[in-house]
Amino acid sequence: MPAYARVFTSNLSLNLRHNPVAFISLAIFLLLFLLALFAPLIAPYNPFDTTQIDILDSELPPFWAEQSDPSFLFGTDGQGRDMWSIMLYGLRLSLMIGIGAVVVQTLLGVSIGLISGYVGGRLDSLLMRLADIQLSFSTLMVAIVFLAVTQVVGGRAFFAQYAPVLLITIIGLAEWPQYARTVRATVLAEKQKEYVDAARIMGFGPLRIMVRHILPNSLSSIFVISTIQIANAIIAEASLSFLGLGMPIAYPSLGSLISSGFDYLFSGSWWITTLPAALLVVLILVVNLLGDWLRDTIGPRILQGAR
Amino acid sequence: MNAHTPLVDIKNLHMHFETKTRAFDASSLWRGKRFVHAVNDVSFSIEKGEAFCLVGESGCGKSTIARLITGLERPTSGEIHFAGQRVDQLSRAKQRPLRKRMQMIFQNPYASLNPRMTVEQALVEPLKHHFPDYSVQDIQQRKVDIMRAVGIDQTWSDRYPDAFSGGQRQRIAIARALTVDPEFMIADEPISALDASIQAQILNLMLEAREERGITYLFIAHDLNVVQHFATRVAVLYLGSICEISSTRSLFEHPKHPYTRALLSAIPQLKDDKPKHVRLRGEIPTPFAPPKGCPFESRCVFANNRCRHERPRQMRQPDGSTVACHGVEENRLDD
Repeated sequence: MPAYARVFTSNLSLNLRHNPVAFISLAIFLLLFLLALFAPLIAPYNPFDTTQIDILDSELPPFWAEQSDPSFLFGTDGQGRDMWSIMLYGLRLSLMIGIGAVVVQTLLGVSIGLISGYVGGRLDSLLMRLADIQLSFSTLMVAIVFLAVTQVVGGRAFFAQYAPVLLITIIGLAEWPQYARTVRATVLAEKQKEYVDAARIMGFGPLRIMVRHILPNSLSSIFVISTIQIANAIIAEASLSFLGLGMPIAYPSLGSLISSGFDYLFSGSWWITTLPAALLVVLILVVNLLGDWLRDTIGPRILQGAR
Repeated sequence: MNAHTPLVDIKNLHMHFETKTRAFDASSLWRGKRFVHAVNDVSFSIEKGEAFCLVGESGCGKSTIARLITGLERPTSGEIHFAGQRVDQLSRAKQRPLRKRMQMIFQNPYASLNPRMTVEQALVEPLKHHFPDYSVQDIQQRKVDIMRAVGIDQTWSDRYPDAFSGGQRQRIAIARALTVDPEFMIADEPISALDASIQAQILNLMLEAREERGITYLFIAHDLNVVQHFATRVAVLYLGSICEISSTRSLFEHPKHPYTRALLSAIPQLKDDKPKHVRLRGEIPTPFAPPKGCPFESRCVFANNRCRHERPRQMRQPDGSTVACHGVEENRLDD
């Protein structure tokens, strides 16, 4: 059976086709993902190219309103950039930062959770207390302090250049305990099973048992928590950008677009903030709905009802 | 190593598990730490070629002894010798050469195979690990040989354990244990999770491996019919202590310890017109506070004052068995 056929006939895909909410969510997410991936090809303008921007085009409304310009489908922002193009690029940045942060979280959290759960004892207590300490600071608080200090110390130009890397790092570092705790709980459950004893009797080392035996059996909970964490990371990035600590307005993510459009809200140009906000809401909603569906379908019992 | 070194020699083995009680549990406030006395002063030895059986009810410490011998747990005190070498305090690296010689089959074949590994992966992984200088052809050849020996079809290679029944899985588990060509195999109730029709097949497979590969077994069971069929010698365990060690024949013909007698009389017979089951009174004492004297004293009809205060020692009997019972020692049981 070829690989695509195996995927198509698997229980998971069968379940997906019988769950309209999950199916539509996946379709929308894939659409958004492709739009973000191919933004440079799809977008009619390059919002980073100053020669394509004309300040006289600023604050044009979207196509359904009067005074709209047919060459700007969703209107323009306060600087005359095409809303459609800049939203595609913003979506691209938001998704990239969200997924990047989750990759950092996964690498850190999964290794710490595996070691903590498998080795146990004092190391486990130490790592879990570290996780507790990390969790007692809110992600946003840590990020705000760190990013504000970097902005002051490194200067605005430096910050603008490295903002995506900084955001990925800080959101990734701040949320590892979510992963570590989930993975640890799964490892503790798997460790009791006889196949782990069998592997130990075979003389396999701890690293091999963790990576080759326990980790593959913990993947379902890692998948489930990853979807939830992608949504959380995108929200965190948007919040930071909204506060002016994330992506600069020259390279805006959805959060900075919402933030910059906020100033025009009362002058009547509602679309500059509302359209990116709607896009963000749809993105977060479908990711969360997919996460819920994954949790109910493949998630182990310990994650049922978890958030 | 002289000719009389037994393959496995266990001396005065103790295993106490510390239990964590809740901090504000009323009983733990003044009691502090509590210990489960899972194994109490167990000594026995297994000669090469034997099929040594451990029998006893659930919770009597059979599986703990298996886990101690394989090194999954460290004993509280006592010594375990394997082929003349003391093995209970070895580091993982020093245990490694022993892994090829000692393997284990588990009770539940639904849990003892990694659900994310195909049969092929499960069999090849130990080969690659223990025989790093084997070529790919050597490993494949060896895998094919073992699959044939345990009656696994070659077409099963690419399937995951969830495609198989309990008996098939147990065959795969046995195949995995045989990959490293062990001389000693611990089988922890390997057939009690299987259908009755499959049990005999797996048992015969293990007997075959014993004849063809000269494997010595430590077989843990609670089904006495299986023991009678499989074992050469039997040790009866009660509450973490050994009551009686005897050859299978003399155990089933002349059980000596009162507990062994009760156990044997409980075997269901087809012609049960004159049932003379020995009825045990009471319950097994809690392993938190095992009796000071004979472990079986609280349920034994022959118990006297000495049994309540003095722990019986293993005494060798004329027919070669050893029994830990004051009553047998004083010859006051048969009246």
